[in-house]
Parts: sequence; structure tokens; C-alpha cells
Amino acid sequence: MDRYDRQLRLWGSEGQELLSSSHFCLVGPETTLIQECFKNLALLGVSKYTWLRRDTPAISSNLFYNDLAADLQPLNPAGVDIRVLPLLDEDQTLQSDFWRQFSIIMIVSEAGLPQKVLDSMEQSCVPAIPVYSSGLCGYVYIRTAEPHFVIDSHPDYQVPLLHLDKPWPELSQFMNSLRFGELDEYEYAELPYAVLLYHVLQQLQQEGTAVTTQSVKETLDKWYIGKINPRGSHDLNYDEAVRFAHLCVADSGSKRLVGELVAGLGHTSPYNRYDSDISRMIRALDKYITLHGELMVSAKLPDMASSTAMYTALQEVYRRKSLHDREEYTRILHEDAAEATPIDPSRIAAFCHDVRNVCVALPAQTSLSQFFQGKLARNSSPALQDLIGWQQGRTPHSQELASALALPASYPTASFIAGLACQEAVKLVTHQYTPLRNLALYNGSTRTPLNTLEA
Amino acid sequence: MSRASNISKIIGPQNLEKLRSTKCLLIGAGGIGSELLKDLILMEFGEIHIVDLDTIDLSNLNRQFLFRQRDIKQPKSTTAVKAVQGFNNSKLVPYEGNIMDTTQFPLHWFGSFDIIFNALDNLAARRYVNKMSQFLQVPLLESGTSGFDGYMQPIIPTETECFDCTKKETPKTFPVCTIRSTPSQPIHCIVWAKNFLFAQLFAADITNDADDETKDWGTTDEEEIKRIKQETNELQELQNIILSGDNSQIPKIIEKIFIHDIEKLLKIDNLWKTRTKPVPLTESQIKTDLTDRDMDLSTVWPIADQIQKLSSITNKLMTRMKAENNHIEFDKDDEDTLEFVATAANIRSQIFHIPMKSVFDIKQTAGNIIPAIATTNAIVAGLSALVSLRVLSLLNYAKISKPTELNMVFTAKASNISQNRYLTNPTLAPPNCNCPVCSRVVRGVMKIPRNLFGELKLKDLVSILAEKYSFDSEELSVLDTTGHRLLSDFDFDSLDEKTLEEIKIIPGTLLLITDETENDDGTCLKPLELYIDEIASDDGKMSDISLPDMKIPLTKITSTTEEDNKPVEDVVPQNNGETIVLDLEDEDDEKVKKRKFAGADGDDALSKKSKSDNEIEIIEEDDIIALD
Repeated sequence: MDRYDRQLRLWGSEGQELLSSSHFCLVGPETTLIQECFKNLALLGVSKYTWLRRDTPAISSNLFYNDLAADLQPLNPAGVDIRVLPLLDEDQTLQSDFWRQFSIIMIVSEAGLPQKVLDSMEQSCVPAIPVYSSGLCGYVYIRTAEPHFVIDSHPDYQVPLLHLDKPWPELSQFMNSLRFGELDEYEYAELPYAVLLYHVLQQLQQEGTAVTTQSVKETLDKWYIGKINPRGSHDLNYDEAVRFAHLCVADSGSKRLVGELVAGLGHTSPYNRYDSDISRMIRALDKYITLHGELMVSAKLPDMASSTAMYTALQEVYRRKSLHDREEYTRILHEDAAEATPIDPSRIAAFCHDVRNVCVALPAQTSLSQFFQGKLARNSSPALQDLIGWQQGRTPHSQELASALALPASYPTASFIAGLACQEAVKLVTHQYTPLRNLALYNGSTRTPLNTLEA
Repeated sequence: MSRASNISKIIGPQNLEKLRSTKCLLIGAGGIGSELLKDLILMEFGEIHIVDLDTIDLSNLNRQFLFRQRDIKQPKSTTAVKAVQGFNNSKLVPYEGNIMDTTQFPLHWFGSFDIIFNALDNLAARRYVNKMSQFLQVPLLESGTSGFDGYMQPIIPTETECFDCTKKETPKTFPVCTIRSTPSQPIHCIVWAKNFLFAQLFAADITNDADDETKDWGTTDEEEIKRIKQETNELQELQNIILSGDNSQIPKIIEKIFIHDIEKLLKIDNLWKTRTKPVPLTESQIKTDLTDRDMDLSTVWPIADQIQKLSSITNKLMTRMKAENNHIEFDKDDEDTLEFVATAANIRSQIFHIPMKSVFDIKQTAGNIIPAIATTNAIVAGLSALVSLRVLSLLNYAKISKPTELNMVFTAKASNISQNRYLTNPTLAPPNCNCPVCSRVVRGVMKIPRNLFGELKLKDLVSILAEKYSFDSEELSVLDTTGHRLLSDFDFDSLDEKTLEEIKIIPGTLLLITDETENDDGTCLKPLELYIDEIASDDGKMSDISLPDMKIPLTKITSTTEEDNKPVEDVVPQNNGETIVLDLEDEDDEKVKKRKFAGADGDDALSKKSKSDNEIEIIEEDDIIALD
């Protein structure tokens, strides 16, 4: 087990691989803030950097590292390679292809980029993170010019999708093999709630009753307890069946999800391997759901009170189906893309693991050049205007803010702002966890310093 | 511009002087600790005392940026201090030790600090330091992270919520019989392999847990209890094999655990009336091949490989026993111990028809691993360092008039407030009036010159207290809570003429002072808990005795002590793979219901059990919320 064990548990080797092969562009002078950004990224496993800076010495004395390039080396065993380029070499910075070599652009304490440079960055569609701290204030803004696809959003809770209303043959076979109706009370108590719900659905179908959460609950009470297992109303599995009665109602979220993903795709022009893989996988998902009417089954079965043997057997039914579905999905994915390189099976597996965790994060609407004019598309923020203005040499409107900004770098402020910015960069690079669509503003001259705004 | 003039501009020259004479205690030199140490040094704190009991491990290096590969196995506190010497103006004092060790860190030692930063990784130590801070009225900045989530909470004793004012998640526990006889989930097998099998075989001085008479077994089946006890004795025989170093006996160990013990279990018919019977290994599955092979730790191996690996790793551990004083503790980062636990757990799972898991996954459960990254630590530590300036009243901006105007910070995701916000910074709440730590009792330290312990009589002490806090001296009871002795109350005054020394009130004694007077409106003064400390002076006078300046508040007299004693329980269910934390309210209920699976005989042994001795904890020292 290794150095990255504690973070592999967040984003897996797939995510770590994306981080270690990423290429970060940092734009800005040497400040405590940029040093903190470099430090965080090197720790996370990022090796390759391009640093665009004006030819001026470090502007703060409050630096932690004296010789940044050398001091960073021990933080990443794979090495830290920083290529320093002059900031305003327009031959390069006006080409969006130049920006496209990077995974992320972080614009650190630099608000003097010409509009045409910002536009060319924007056109490259590489996610950009303007970040700044001065005195007791700072900001972090996440600008993705295009919809950003998240391959696993890791939600805290996901409604289980059991497909009980549309069972595949093996599931029906399993359910029907349990001699439901002929068991004793102990045997009923051992059944996972999915089995109870399945048979309730069958019963409703026979009666010709519409399936609603209410009708499922009534049938559990009147039919299951009333006729099948009168002594079952104190069983855990009965409680769970009641609690999860809503899982019987036909799933409507899947089609909407695929719709959103496909719609997101409409606005993208994938230029790197990862994005083009994702866009192919989403198109194939669209075909899959059109063909089969529902999403690939996930092997993840929620916990259910039941005997181990019964639960394991049911889990196995779902696992086999999920493998089968992934094969079918892979077939569709590659069927009319003979000319394209096949997508790595582990990437397909990550995508299919629970396809409902794939999501699209729509971009915040404020462009980089708007942002550096202090304007937000969805909000107005005098504090942001003051911060940007201050960066560009104008006096802030707010007296309090002015004096808080005029302070020299406060180390903890820079450290916290850099942490926040790099945190979001990691989400973007790994395509895991949903990045913020917000502007985070920190204004230490107020009583509630931390504010987030829809940008 | 120098660093000092930097901070001078931020807080003002006078405040800089104050900051430079500020003495702070930083507990933990791990993820948040390294970040905090750097921030506090660069802020020019005068003195930073840093405590950590741990040594550096490879898996720390993705975030604990002061440490290098070459520092692995070195103590964290001293290594961190060495790493920052180059740019440090503060006085740094490292300590290797457990913060809960009262000999190394007596209460008055905590009292020498102006502010305490908690950068801990476990619940027990957090609670302990919280209590110390309440005693001494020292402000505490509590913090923690878990993956992308984190929080930072300033605690100003008597003014704002303390750490225990809100319920905290506690480790999940399991009944003994589930672990030893009837596992049904991977975690049951992992707990068995780690806390029982590994501990028995390799942690030689661990006594068996069969101090029976008082023990709750989670079953009343005599036959099963007898079997559990017998199995424990037999395991001691296996431990002897381990100690003998005779590796030709390894197959015998495996046979015993995974064939004979299972066969014995199978003979207890009651257990299998409603459960699927386990299937023991067969002798032909157990080979004598002890070659240690490198395996992919992130996949699930076939059963034959599990058995082979268990054999080879047992061989390795047997060899190590000699060199390590016949005692090896389970350590998640010690790959041999981890692989032993993982393979033993998996073989047991296979036997009980439970799915096996990869070593990587088992490590998470067995080691109670909390994901940790550099960025979250930087965020939480930065905010904690910033708010310390406010707590110490060193920041002239947006001055606050009372501590409840301070902000705490937590990630919104952790609180489910909003999907689209990362950090939330609400102001602090006042203490929870039902908090057993900070609200039911008022705490403080009484300092007495050394020479007065032999002169001061108990009645003098009573009158000093009565005068200071307007107690009715006739109605005052004094209890020594360290020794559980009543020293004085309205109808017990025979000790009143004794000196403190004679009745063994010495530095370190805890006294509980209660004014029993009940007011007309049913209120009374809150009990006062005093820690007795000495002033190092041999000619101290009565007037040198110091007591905390405070007004003892009134409280409603309540007869319910039940609530006090109720352990703080789980509220936030955190689904950590296998671990499901139940709400206290549901618990009895669930147990009644589970009976149908457990005891077909239908006695109600399982229905009303307190969650105490009859359950094995998954984790000894680290807790579920254990945040880095």
C-alpha cells in the first residue's frame, strides 16, 4: 500500500492516474498563494507544470519556500517538473491550441491578462480557476467553458434501483423459486425486502391495480400480512419493504438523466482523449436506453435485512445481470466506431459501475473576461468588484474592505484559499465529485467572512 | 518587508507583541497539525507546544508535507519541529506522548496555554481535551477532516457550545455471538480476524475476554458460551505453537481454526435452525507451501490463494515474533498483519457463505481508514489559524462583542444543507443546557499555595468558597470525586477541622461542591467541579488562593439522572461501506425484531440488552468520526 492510499480511497487508481498524468498551468507571480497551490498539487501527485509569469521577483516576503522548484521535489517521488515561460508571449498565449496542452489553468493573483488572452483561454475550453488572496480577503472562481462530465459524483445517498417492475428472466426465476406462499414465519423473515416487493408487484398485476407507493403499502398490509404471513408485521424485512415501497414505482429518472447528459454533449467539442471517451460513452448510453428502455443494472445491491445466504444469492443475480449489461453496452459502444480506438475496459467499468452517478456539471455563466471586469452573470457582487479592482490598482468602494485588502499577505488566508482552489482542480481533473459552480469569496473584514455566489 | 512587519500590519504593533507572548498548544502533528504548525509559525505565535504520540508512515506523506521518505518511523512531533527550524521565529516545544497521559500532561500544564488547537484523529482524545479546556476556561479550536469534508469549531468555555454539546457518532459494536459464532457480513469476519484471532495469536499479553460471570455474551445458550470459552483456551495452545517458531505446524493451526472449530460450531443445532450452515475447509485444501508471493491487493483472490497466503504470512509473523518480544500489534500499515487479518477474514467469510473482499477494502474496515487529502487539511487549518486571531481578540476588523458572534466552518456536503455550496460558516451556538460536559456542572481550578495545604482546614475551604460564590455554607456539600468520598455536608462535619493535607486534598484532586439550597421557584445553584492545583510558593498567604471568577448560574432541579448517564450516541448515520450506525431510538426495536433470526428458542435474551459489555468494538483506539 502506498503513499497515496488515503486519497485512492476517494478517487481510486483511475483518478490518481489522471492526476499524475495531468499538466497544470499556473499563471501569476511568485506569491505565498501560488507557492501554496504548487505545494498542494505536488502532494496530490501532480508532476508536470507550466508556470507563466512576468519577469519580476517574488512580491511577498512571507514565503514558506525559498527555492520553490527545489523545495517541492521531495513532495512528489515522481518528480516535480516546472517549465517557466514568460507571461506575455503572444505567439503562444493567443493560440487556443497552446492552452489545450493543459488539464487546468489556474490564474493566481494575476488580473492583468489582456482580454484577447482570456478569450483564447476560454476558446480552448480548458477549465480555468482564477484565484486570489490579499490581506484578509480572497476568492476562488471555477470557470468551465463547456459542460463538465463527472464519471462518478459519489453521492452520499443514491435511491436503489431494483428493476422489480421490469424483471429480467433470471430475476423472475430466482423470485419464483422461493416457494413464496408456502413458507413458515421464520422463512419469511429471512427474505430480503426486494423479494416481498417483487411478489407484491405480481399481486398488484394480477389484481389489475395501478402501482403506486400507496397501493404497494396497502398490499403489503392487506395481502402479505393479511393472507401470506400474518405473523410478519414485526419483521425487519417487512418494515424495510414498507419503507422502500416507492422503489416499486416505475423509474422515471433514468431517461431524464440520459437526456441531460446528451443535451450537455451538444455543447462540447471534446479535444482530449478523456473527453472524447466520455462523449462516446454517453452517445452509446443514449443508444442503449433507446434499445433496452432502461439503464444498465448496477451490481450494487443495497443492504437488506435477510439471511446471508439469501442476500448473497440475490446479489449474485444482480451481479451477473450487471456484467451481462456491461457486455451489451460495450458491444453498442464499439459497434459503429470501428475506426476509433477501443475505450479502455476499466474506464467502461467505471462508467457502468453505477451509471446514475455519471452527471454533467453545467458551466457557470460568467466568462473569464467578464469575471476580470468584476461582473457576474447571475449576481452582482460589490465585494468582487472591489477585489478585482484592487488587483488592477483601483481603490475599493468599501473602506473596511480597502483596509483589509491593503494588508500584506496573511499566511493562513493564502493557505486556505489555495486549498479551496486546488480542491476544485482535483475534482475537475479526476472527473469525480461535482465541482462548484460558485464563486467563493472570503472577506475577512466582515463578521461572516465566507460567502458563495452563483456565478 | 519582514514577516514580522507583515503580521504587524495585519493586527497592529501592540497586538503583535501580544501574539509574540502567546503560548499555544497544538495537539496532533498529522495532516491538520502540519498545516497549522506552518501557519502559526508564519503568523509569529510566540510559543508553540506540539504533542503527538505517533510515528511517521508512508501513507502520511500525501499530505503531511513536513515529512520526507527518510523520516518514516520517526516521531511526528520532533520531526515536524526539526523540519521547520529553518524559517522559525517561535519557540517550539515538541512532546512525544499521549495527550491523555495525566503524568506527562497534568491539568495545570494545559492551564499554561492561552489557546489550544486540536488536530486530532480520534474521538476519545477530542473529548478529553474538550474537558480540559472546560476546566481551565482555555479557548479550544477543534477541527477535523474526512476526505473532502471538514470542520473547524472555536469553543469558548461557558460562552459557546462545547465539543460534547452535540451528539457524536460512536463506533459500531457487535454482539459476541455474531462475531464468534454466527457472522453474516464481511465486517463480522474482519472484526473476528483482527480483534480476536490476531490478538490471541500475536499480541501475547492480551488476556482472553472470558472473565465470565459478569460477561454478557449476547446469547444465553449455555452450549454456545461453553464452546466460545473452550475455543479461547484452545487458541492459547495455538499461540504456543506460534511462540515455538515451528513452522511445520502451520497447517495444524489452519486446520484447527477453519475445520475443527467450525465442526464444533455445527454441532450446536440451535444456531443452525434458521441459518445456513457453515462449510468447513477440507484437509486437502490446506497445503504446506509457505512461499511468500506478491499478490494484487486490490482484487479478490480465489480461496486457494487466501489459504496459501495465510500460511505464508503466518510463517513470516512467526519469524518476526522472536525479534519483536513475542508481541505484534495489528497495524493497518504493517502489511504482514494486514494480510493475516484479510486472509483469515476471507477464509471465514467463504466458510459462512459471505462474499470475500480485497485486501485494499479490508484495510479500510480493519484499519478504520478515513480518506485524507492535503487540500481539505489546508482549508481547515487555514481557517482555524485565522479564527484564532479573533478568539484572542487580536484582529481589529469587524470586531465582535461576544463569543457567539464567532464563526465555525463546516463543509455543506457533510451537513446536507445544500448541494451547491461547499463551505458554510454559521455563528456559534451557546452551550446546550443538557450537555453533560459543559452545562450540567460548572468547572474551574482552585490554586492554593503549596504551604497552605498543611494549614488550611476544610471549614476554611468551605467558607472561602461560600464567600466567593455566595453559597449557603450550611447547605454546602463537598465531595472528593477522585476518591469518591463525601468530605462534608449539612449533617457531616467531623472532617471540618482537618487540614487539606490530612484529608488528602492534594494537587490533582477533583472536588464537587453542591449548594443544596432549593429556591422557591424550584431552582438551585449548579454544582461546581474544582480541580485543586498548587501554587509553587512556600510562604503563600490566604489571599493568594485563587478561584475562577464567575457567577454560578441557577438551574432547574431535575430528578432525572438517566439523561446524564446516557452515552452520547450516534446521530449522523455515516455509511462507511459495511458499517451502519443505528439511531439509539431504533436500537431496542431492531433487536427485538432481529430475534427471529438469532434465537429460534424465543427466549428474550436479545431483546433488552444495554449496549455495553456484551458487544465487541470494531475499533479500539480510532473512532468512526476520527477525522484527521
